[in-house]
Order: sequence, then C-alpha cells, then structure tokens
Amino acid sequence: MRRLLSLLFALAAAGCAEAPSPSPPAAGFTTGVTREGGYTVGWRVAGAARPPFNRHFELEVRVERDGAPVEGAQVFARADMPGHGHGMQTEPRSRELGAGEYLVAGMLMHMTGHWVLSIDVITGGTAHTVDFDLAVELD
Amino acid sequence: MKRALFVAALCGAGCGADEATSHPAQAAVPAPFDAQDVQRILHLSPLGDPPPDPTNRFADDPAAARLGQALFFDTRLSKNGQTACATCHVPERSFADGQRIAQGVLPLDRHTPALWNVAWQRWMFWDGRSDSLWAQALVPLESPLEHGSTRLQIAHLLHDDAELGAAYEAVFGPLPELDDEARFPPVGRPVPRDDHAHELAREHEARSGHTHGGASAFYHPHQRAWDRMRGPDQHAVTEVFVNVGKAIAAYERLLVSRDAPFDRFVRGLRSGREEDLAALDMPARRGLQLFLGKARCHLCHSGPLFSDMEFHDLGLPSASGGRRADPGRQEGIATLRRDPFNGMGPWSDDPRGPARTKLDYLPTHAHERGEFKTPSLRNVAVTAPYMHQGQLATLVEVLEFYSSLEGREPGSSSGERILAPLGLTVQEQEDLFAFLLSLIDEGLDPILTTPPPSPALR
Repeated sequence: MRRLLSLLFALAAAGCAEAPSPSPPAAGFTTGVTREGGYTVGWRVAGAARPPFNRHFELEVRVERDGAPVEGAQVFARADMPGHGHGMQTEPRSRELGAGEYLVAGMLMHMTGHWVLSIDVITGGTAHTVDFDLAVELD
Repeated sequence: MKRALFVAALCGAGCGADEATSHPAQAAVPAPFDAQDVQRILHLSPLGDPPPDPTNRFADDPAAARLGQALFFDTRLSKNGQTACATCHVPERSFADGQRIAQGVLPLDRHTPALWNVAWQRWMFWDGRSDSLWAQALVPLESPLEHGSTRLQIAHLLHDDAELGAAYEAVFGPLPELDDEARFPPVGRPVPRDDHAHELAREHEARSGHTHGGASAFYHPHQRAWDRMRGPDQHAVTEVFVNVGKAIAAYERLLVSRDAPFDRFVRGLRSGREEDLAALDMPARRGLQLFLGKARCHLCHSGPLFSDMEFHDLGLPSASGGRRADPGRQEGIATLRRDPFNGMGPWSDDPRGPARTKLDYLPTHAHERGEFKTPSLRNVAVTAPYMHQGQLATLVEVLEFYSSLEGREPGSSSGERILAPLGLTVQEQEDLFAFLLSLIDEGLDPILTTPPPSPALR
C-alpha cells in the first residue's frame, strides 16, 4: 500500500510540474522547468522517499540548463498551502554543493494536504521559478 | 457487510507491511469507519515515549525530577511567598487553573495551559517563546506578574534550605557559597528591556506622579543589584537558576496522559480485541469520524499529541483582561531569538543539536500577527476554559464556535483560509463532544500530584 501511495505521489508530483524535463531525471528526483529561463530543476527529499509529515527535512536540488549543471546560482525553496492561505512556519536556506547541486535545509511541512513547493533559481539577478504540486501524507 | 469485508481485504493486503500502522489481527473495520478512517486513526495513538531533550542532560534523571517536583509545589519561589508553579498548574484541575486569565502575583494576560504531555511539545507558551521545557520553567519564576522572584532569591533559597540544598547538590554538584551578602545580594536579576517590570514602573509613575525621568531611564533595583555583582558570581547564580529550570522540567516530563479510552480503542483496532474496541461507544465513534472528516479537526490537531505543535490564527477577539491586539507568535519568535536560555545558548547542554535546527530556520520576515499554538486535545474536556485568552468557557462553546465561526474579529484571520463554518448539527456536536471525552486520561501516579515528602530520592 505504501509503495502504491509513493508511486501515486510521485506521479502526481511529476505531472503537476511546469513542463517535462528535457533530460532523463536522476533517480528519485522530481523535475520541472522554470517558467522563464529554461532551467531544469530536480528535487528530492534527502534520505526519504517523500516529504515527511511535520518533521524537519532537507531537499536536494539539481539545476541544469541545456543539459549542463548550473553552478553559482542562488536557490530558494518555499512551500505554501494554497487552500489554507499560509505556508511553512520555517524559512529554509540553501547552500551550493557543486556540480549544479544545492542543499536546502529547514523545510517543515506541518500539515497534511496539498502543498505547492516553489523553487527559485536566481542567476544574474533574475529569479526563475518552478512550482511543484505535492501531497503531504501521514507517515 | 460487503463493504466491511472489502475494506478488511484491502488492509490485509497492504497495511500489514507497515509496522507503524499495522493492525494484523483486525477482522473487520468497526462501524462506522472505512479503511481511510482507520489509517488516520492509527496515526493518533499510541503516544509513545517522550522525545529526549538533549538541551537538558538531567531531563530524565529521577533525582532531578524529584527535586523539580518539590520546587514545583514550593511557594517560596515567589515574591509573595504564596505562588508556586502549582498555583496555576493545579493537579486537581488537570494542571491548569480553570480560570479564563491566569493570576500570578499579579494578573496575567493569557490563559493558563494544562501541562499534560509537555515533554512532546516543540515550543512552549501560547506564542512559543521558549523552545524547551527548562527554558520555559525559568520565565514565570522571574516574571513580575507570575512568581515575581529573582534568580538570586532562588539561589539563596537552595543555599539556605538544608534539604533542598542537599537534593540539589546530589544532582548538580556543589552550590556556590552565597553567605557574603555584599557579593550575593538577597534579590537581583537581569531585567531585559521588554520585561513587564518596566511597564509596571510606568504605571506606578502614572499613579504616583513621581517620575524616574521616563521609562527608558528607569533603573530597576533588581538590575542595579545584579550589575553590582562580579561576572563569575553572576555566572554561578545563573547556573543554579538554570538547574532549577532543568529540575522542574524533569518533573514536568512525567506528567503524561496516554491511556485514554481512545487509546484502548486504537489498541483494539490493532489487535481485534472486542474489549478494547468497546472503549468507544457509537456516539464517540461518530464523533471521531467527524473529527477526521467533515469537521477536519485533524488538520491542526494531528498526531498522537492531537496538535501540529505549530501556530494558527482563529480570529478570536481579545477577552476582557486579555492582552489587546495580542501579537502571538510574531512576538514569540523575537523573544525566543533573544532568550539567553534558548537551545542554542550557553546554558543549553546541546547547543549544536536538534535545537539548533528548530531555531536556525525560524522565519526572519514578519510573521502573521495573532497566531497561537495549537493546543493538544488530550484531557481537553477537563481543562476548560479554552483558547489563548480563555475566550470560550466550555467545550460546547468551542464546538458552537467552529460550527458557526460567530464572534470572530471582523476581517481577521487572513492566514487561515481553510477555516469555514462547519455547520454542525446538534447531534454532530454531541458526537464530537463524546469523542473528546474519550481523550480523558488523568490516571497519573498520585505520588506525582502532591509535594514529595522530601526533595531528594531516598
């Protein structure tokens, strides 16, 4: 049952991203393309298959453009519950790991339900955003 | 019946794989639930063991807890000699006080929360301005509204009382020598800029017509006494004070409620034992189904604590005697960051551990005003009144509020779009009430509800 839910979750998350990835996603990464700028952004939860319910977690984020890793960008992640009119009660921060990879720490989704994860990639003073719909379920 | 068998088959095929949510002996899903209900219900019990608190290395020390219990009931930890922790957190009143607004040595401006299962809380106080139980315990002791005491006064008490002193030293090591009054005045403490003492001084000025040259120039006698002390002496006194908080926290961690009729029912869901399933009658079961369904209570009152441990705005207007335009969590975050006793501070026993994660990612932008911590619902039926200023007197009023949302502040609560009138029928409200009654477990060992015969374990 859990595997089935994970699969459904992954399908839903992938299906709601802005556009299909131009390159095959790395294992476990959900990918989407920013609304402007053509950045392919992939994310996965560090050490878990999905965002845990009401526990702090980290996001691994990969950024590519035209198939090449994007280095030196600033990456921000936030998550909101559109149906509730609020988001997380934390303010995550990221650091660059190299080779187009970034680690976002301080994520905490404290309620079950529909969330929108927004990842901003800032390069050259311009923010490029991609949104992902996801469902937070009880663990 | 077909539906029940189908649901049972579904669970038998898939749910058994997950230890956390398994109920292998279950023969059928009891009415009126369906498989999804059962999955959600299983997440609400058991509560398990309290999480460790690495910021307090004495958190689970029985001798510290015994000392903490003695201190919890000791009115000498107050300015007027009449106020203890137990004055507001009354064991016979489910560790609350039954009052709308708390009353310490002076009136406060929020409601006294019950202490059940505080060991599980992520944040303390309605606004979460403390991040550990021991840091929380220190605040009332020096608040001029609550105990009105000072860390010097408390250190002297431990030093001068042979029994308390021996119990302290058995846990924390030698007390400092406090006999020299020139070095260790009888009272004194740091008085932060946002301390109520300044407000009280302003009020005193207004009443008496005598001014100190403006509130900002007011030099509190407690601060003056503190400033005259040498740094190492201040440090020694603060260490005693912190250890008092850690001892009280060790005691409060024992105030556990996790064997309510609801918990027995959930055990029954897992085992299939009819005796356990009988712990919830049909009205309570219908109430539980509403809790998870139409009423959507579980969105905020989630997990075995029946709280998401975070902050929400219901849009309730301030109560008479309550704080006007209470900023709630917005101010709580600012206070928490400044708190020298927070989990990343010098008095924490694990400043780089999980406490750091909690504090590191607090929002820096302005938080919504008026958000307060989701209270746990365990023992909720015996801890009236309700809400952060006790605005609602009874559980019936709470259910009526959520049903109609009448009485909300006009234009309030932009941050909780999901809050909509539930339109509960009288029957539904009665069923929810019956379910909330099933969360009562006050079966605490009586030895924890009175002052111990001795502050030391023997």
